[in-house]
Amino acid sequence: MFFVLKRNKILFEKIENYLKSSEIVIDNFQKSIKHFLKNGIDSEFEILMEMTNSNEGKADDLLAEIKVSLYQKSLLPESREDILIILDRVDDIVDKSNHVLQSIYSQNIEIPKFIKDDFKEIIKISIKAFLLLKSSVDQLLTKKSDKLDNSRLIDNYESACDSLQLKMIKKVFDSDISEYCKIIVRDVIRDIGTISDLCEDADNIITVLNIKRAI
Amino acid sequence: MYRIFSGIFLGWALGANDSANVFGTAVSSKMIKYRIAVLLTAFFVILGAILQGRQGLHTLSGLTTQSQLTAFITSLAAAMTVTIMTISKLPISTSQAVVGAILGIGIMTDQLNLTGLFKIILCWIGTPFGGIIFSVLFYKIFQFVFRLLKPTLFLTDSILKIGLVLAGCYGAYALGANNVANVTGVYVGNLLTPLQAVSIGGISIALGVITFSKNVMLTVGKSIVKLDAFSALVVVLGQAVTVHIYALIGVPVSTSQAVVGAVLGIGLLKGLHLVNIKNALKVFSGWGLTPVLSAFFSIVIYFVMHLKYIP
Repeated sequence: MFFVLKRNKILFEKIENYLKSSEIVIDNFQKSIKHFLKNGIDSEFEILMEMTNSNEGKADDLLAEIKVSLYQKSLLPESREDILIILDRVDDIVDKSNHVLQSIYSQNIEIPKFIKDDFKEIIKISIKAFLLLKSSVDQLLTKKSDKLDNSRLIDNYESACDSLQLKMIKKVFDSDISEYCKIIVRDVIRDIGTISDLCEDADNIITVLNIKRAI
Repeated sequence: MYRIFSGIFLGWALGANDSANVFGTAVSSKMIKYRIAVLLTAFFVILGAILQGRQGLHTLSGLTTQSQLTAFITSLAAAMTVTIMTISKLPISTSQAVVGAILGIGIMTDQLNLTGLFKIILCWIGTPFGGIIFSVLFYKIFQFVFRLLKPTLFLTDSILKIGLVLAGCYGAYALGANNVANVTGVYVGNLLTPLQAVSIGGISIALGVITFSKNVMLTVGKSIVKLDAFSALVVVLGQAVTVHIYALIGVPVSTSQAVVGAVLGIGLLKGLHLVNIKNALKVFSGWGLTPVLSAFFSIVIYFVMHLKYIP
């Protein structure tokens, strides 16, 4: 990085910090869901949820700083726009995770036993997709990536999430829980399913950016 | 001494029009601030004019015999032509405007060095081809280097930004070195010494850059071929090298022709479907019109200034 302009160096560090913050939020999200599935909504879950929310807020602040830097004309216009779009997608993922926890807490949602294992699985796959996406972003910024492997995996995870989402929703509506519960559980499942969709979306943008950058 | 003002006017018009060829692609793509671009251009134009502007003075002053009056008329006619084309937002050739005006004077005074004119026309034809050749060459070389180094996104960005600034400065230097002869070449031998000519010429071009160059800056590069930062760098460098070579030869040529040639070179590499043919033709037609318009103005002004009142 010896030849990189100072402004770009600062921007690079900010983006690195933002990605680390996003990973912390997702990590908190994962812990919260694990706790929730084991113990339901209790004070511990509330604390974990608040921690996730607080870290999400910090990540938002970092993203706002990055946007100011980019609007102050760090990076060339073509790269600037693409980086902004990718970071916005990461932000959407982080926001969605936080939203899921808040929905569970505010609506006193209980995940039916017959989909708990699938629920754990979809969370696990969604987080794997996010971590791969983060790796792709890191590689975009620091070196030429082995893009295709990540893209294939993210795509596979997204497809797996879609299948699980469909399977769980079918199970929910085939069950005899109340109609109200069916709807709110369905909404939570869909929200979680969105995480992998957003990961795939962002990954596609990274692919396009790599092609555009090729000289 | 007032007759020098038409030369200063021409220099101002040249600066307003031609500075877009060095920083136009970078400014219109918002890679560099307009304010920084014009300050750098002004400085390096003056430097180029003073250090390497004298070669072209001899070429232009040899086309026809110039008196102070005809030198004034030449510069005025050329400046009017360049100003009209600048207001029409067309990049034009100041060299063609000056030579067209000199032609008009030569026609009226029946003194024209056709051999010298032929040499200049040959160089005009060679200029866009020089732009094409150098842009293709630089593109291939830089492409090879980038593919070898595989720089990160941030390093690429920094290299291209710094490269654009340096290429722009070199382009401005070449502009001053090559085009100062257009501005004050006609005054050498009758009103100014070569040093005075390059100094006054350089400063007047710089003034045009600072005060009136924004119009044309947004036209070059943006409307002919869609340029990315890498291509923009290659275009500016290709144009600068072409113009500098002609400065060393001593023939003032068009920076506009060089840059359009360079842009077309990129278009040829990337596929002509990227070239805005309509705008390219518009620019080329401006070049055909320029010497004709300029000759017309110089003939009319010469005629008017030689009218005598007979009571």
